[in-house]
Amino acid sequence: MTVGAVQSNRSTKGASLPVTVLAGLALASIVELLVLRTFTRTAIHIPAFAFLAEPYRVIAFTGRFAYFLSVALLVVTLPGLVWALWRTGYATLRIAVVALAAFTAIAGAAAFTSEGTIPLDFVTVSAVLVLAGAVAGLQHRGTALVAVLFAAAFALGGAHTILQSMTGNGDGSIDGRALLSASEVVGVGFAVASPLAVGTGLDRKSVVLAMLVGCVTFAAFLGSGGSTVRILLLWNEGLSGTLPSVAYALAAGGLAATFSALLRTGRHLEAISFALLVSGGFGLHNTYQSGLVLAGFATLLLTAGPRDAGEQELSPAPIEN
Amino acid sequence: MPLKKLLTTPHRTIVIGAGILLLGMVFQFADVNPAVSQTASLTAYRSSNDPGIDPDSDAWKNAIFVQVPLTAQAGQYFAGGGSVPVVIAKALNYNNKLYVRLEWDDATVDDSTTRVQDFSDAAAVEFPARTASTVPSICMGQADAGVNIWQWRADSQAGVKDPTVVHPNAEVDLYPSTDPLFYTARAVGNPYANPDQGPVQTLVAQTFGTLTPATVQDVKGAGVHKDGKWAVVFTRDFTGANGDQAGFSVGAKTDLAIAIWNGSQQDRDGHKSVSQFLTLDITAMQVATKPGIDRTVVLLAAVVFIGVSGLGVGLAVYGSSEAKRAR
Repeated sequence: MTVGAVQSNRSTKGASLPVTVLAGLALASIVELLVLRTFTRTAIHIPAFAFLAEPYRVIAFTGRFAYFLSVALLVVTLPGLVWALWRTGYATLRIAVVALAAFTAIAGAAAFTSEGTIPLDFVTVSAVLVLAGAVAGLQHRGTALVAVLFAAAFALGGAHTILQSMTGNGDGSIDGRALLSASEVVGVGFAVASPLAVGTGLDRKSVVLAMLVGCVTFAAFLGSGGSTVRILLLWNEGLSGTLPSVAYALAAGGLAATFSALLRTGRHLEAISFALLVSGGFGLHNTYQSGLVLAGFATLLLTAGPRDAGEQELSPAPIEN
Repeated sequence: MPLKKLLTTPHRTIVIGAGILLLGMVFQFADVNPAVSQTASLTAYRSSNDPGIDPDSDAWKNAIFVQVPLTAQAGQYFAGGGSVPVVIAKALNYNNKLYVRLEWDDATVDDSTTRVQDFSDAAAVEFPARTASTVPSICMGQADAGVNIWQWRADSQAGVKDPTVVHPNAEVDLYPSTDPLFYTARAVGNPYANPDQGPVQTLVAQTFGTLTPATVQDVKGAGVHKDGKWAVVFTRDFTGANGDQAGFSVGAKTDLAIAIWNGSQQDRDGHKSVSQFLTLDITAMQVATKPGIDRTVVLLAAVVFIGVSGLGVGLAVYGSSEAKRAR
């Protein structure tokens, strides 16, 4: 059994404060994704909307609060993850920490300056690649493959944005459309392959949930020509929805199965990692979403760290298996 | 209770949780967003000469472009669209005016909507009506955050076509009157029936179904179709006529989204290709005089990416051996 497999069986039962904060971040970011990024931007299509204006305002306020709460949690979580990974003493994790710390510092500084974001964008993509490399080295093959696919899709989408931003800064104009297409394919590949991260066979309930979610997603793509779902994909996840509908149905089903199986086997930290990666999305949107992605990778690294350090940092509960 | 004791007792979770909640509330009520946009940025450099509304103006020759990916539009009913995959966007500022130029591939000129089965080519840019910590919904804004849209239409630019040209075989025995009363759309001021008002409309919206022309029409623009491409320019003073219209200033950043309609693909209304919001950066710097690709910068960027990817691969290999040793 690999280090990752041993550690990933750790439960959050009786969780310490860092785990509570990570779970809070995952929950707040998912609420923000569903309410602010999804509901408030589709509820405007409700017929006779004027009659529902007040409830809409309340829900929009709640979604915005979830956003600001997520940002506040991220402000606390990222330095906390840097500290937790550093204290493990693992050389691989310490190298990864440098990338995470660089992003935390530069993203924090960017909040106070109006200068261009190209150095920040470079650091973000670099940090994702470095953390994914560390995950690939420390986790078992399934999780490693899934992490690499996510990082590759993120880096391809991010590279397109960086090329465009370099263009805006007078460094030339480059056709980078192929990067977007590649990001789309690899990003969907990540979601379809995500059950490999579970490591063992999926339980029946997770499979049923996956089929249900897949069917609902496929139906959503059929309705209204899939236009609403496709624009939400672009807005929320950085994917433009150019692949056939069945690919996105498989992707949604895969993610649902993974999330369910991880929760049902008590691997809460890995479930939190996937929630953070999905709410962060692919490519460069803003430092909040990039921070979520990096927090997701760092959490995956924590589940792969040495047992004593991980226990010390994350959970006082005994390892179940 | 001293702070040190609070943080080392079971109260710690409550204290830190309350602190984070308080921080979140401060961010929300003070409208302070520590997150920074990392979307593609379109820079409106200062132009040395007036670009005007001609898309072929020399001022645009050295302007840097940004490729903006487009996708289908969402809608309450079947919307569709998405036939234009990418638009080339440029922006300039000159004498306290913002200029935005869009260019996209379109083999056909669809500039007549006289027949019910015809639809016009069109383009639009959308800005948040006011800059805030979170951008409004790209779909016509939202109840608490409006948008300002500038739309150019090929049919409005071409003017009303002579019915005898559109329907060459039609026979009219008697037309009752040329009095404006019989041209109802024109009589009530419908801008599409009054092409003399110009091809560009400025509109405001605060949610789906509230899109309406602004009371003051202060956006100018024009389009040119050449070599299978449309090029369209929009321009307006930095300061809008009303508070519900976007305002700009040198040194400021705002958000900008783009929509394109392809008439031959029956695009109209929500049936169109749209982008996400990108960041519009209005700068006092002059547009770069050396157009084209700076190969050194591209090479440097490629080296950095390959280097970082190599570091990631190295870390994966080293981490794997470290994990084996730890077992």
